[in-house]
Amino acid sequence: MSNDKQWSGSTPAPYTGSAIELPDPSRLDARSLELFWEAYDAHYDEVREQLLAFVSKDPIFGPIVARMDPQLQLDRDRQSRQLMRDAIVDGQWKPYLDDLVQQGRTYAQQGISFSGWFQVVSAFRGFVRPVLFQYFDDSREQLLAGLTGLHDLLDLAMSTIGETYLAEKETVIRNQQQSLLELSSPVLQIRDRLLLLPIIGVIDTVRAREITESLLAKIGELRARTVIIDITGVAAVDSQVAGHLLQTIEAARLMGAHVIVSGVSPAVAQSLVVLGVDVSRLRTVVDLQTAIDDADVFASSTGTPS
Amino acid sequence: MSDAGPRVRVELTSDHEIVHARKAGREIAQQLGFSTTDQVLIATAISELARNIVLHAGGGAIEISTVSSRPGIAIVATDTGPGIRDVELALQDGYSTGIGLGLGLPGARRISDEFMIETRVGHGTSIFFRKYVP
Amino acid sequence: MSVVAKHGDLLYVTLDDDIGDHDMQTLLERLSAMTIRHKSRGVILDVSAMEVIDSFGCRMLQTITTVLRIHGARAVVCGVRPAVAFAMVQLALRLEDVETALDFEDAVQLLHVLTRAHV
Repeated sequence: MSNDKQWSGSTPAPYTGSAIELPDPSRLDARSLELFWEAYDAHYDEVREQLLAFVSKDPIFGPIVARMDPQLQLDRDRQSRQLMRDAIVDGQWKPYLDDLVQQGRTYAQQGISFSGWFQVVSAFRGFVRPVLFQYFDDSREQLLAGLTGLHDLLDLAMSTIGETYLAEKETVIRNQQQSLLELSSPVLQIRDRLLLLPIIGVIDTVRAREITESLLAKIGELRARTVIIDITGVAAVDSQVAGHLLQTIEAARLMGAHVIVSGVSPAVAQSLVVLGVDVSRLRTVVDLQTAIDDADVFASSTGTPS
Repeated sequence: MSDAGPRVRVELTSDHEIVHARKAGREIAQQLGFSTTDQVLIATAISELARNIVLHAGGGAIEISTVSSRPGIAIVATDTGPGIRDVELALQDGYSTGIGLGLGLPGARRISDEFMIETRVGHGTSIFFRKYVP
Repeated sequence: MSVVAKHGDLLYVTLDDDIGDHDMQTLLERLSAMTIRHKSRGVILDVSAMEVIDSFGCRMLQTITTVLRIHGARAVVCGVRPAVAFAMVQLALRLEDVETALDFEDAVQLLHVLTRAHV
């Protein structure tokens, strides 16, 4: 009697989709936050002025602020102030955090560096600190709590914006990879019912899938009868690459397309033999021109209208 | 594991239920946002797992649900058949491609993100399959 | 249920997604009978309605092809959907010795070539 247990496959990668895990503000000390808020709110205009002056000198944020309508800027600051108040005083954290997420997204999309934003936050910290010292002049205990509140809130804001910023950047990278993938394996129509798929570079599992899917879609869409897969640009073939290639060919065949492989280099030819690939199932020719001639012969033998 | 999402259980006694199981699977995959290609991949894998049960175990059930931690489909195929004597061998490519066997296990494993087999000879087999929305 | 129709000197079969063991047996018998009766040389197996082709589907297509071959007819499978073709290769399902064509029109042309070569 055997009792086999077998796990396989990759462990799930950390999920970094559009859903972002927001930090939990309920873990923060409410009283500290409130003390910070009390002092900050009382000296709000003063801090805002200093911050504006700092930001307008910043090489990244300066031009953005300069272009902005002062009234709009004022409205936005007022709104941010309200959101922060509602979060700290009323415990309404969600709108505040959502606003931070939106900010992080905007920074990432506009290509603003994270360190630039980090400097602004540090400056803010620097401007608020003396305010707290002054405000809680008579109570060391309250001062410490207020400082804790300041740091806690900024850490929360930093982690929220940072998290969003990274997630957004990752999306941007993924999208770019996607378009690169599409660019690097175009399916070209040579003439009626004849497609060319030039493969250049490295074929991994992801790219192989991409190539196969787009080829199959194109076969259906353009009613391809012959597909030339040109692998002149493929430097090396290992068993995995060969497997992918054979799968692509087989899938195209299942859809009724006749596949011709061209541009097999001597090195790739040797690898195919060493790997024991069933070459009898492959139609290979030396170069693209021969492949096109071959396709013509095939077309006339099957009576394809040309 | 929470079961907030849809959950479908199909008892398998004959090959008619196989179609039912894969249609249910495809529907859930579609709701989860899988691409058409992935929907068909999942439906084909379910078909293979279900057919396995009908052909080799004489009966069992397939349960399809959603993963709670992130968007994904979870499939559990259970039977009380003879069990798999050599799991390693059953998962080897080529073992199942012989006409008539149709085990389809290596294929199902290949397209999965997580795959586990629990089997006891003489008692039955459970196959756990998960695939996440890319 | 699957449909068998006569199309000139060819037979045209549409295969359904929910075809089972029993249906296949029935279909095979009817197809054999019709091929013999009409002395058909070519049969088109249209699978465009099949959302999934699993190992059973492959075996069915292979069996039909072989049986028809014995009756002196050639079979061509047409209408495999892109996603279905992709899933088949991913799951390492083979459709050995079965001719394929993109659609009905191509299948007719291919059958003319195949049966001409056969004579």
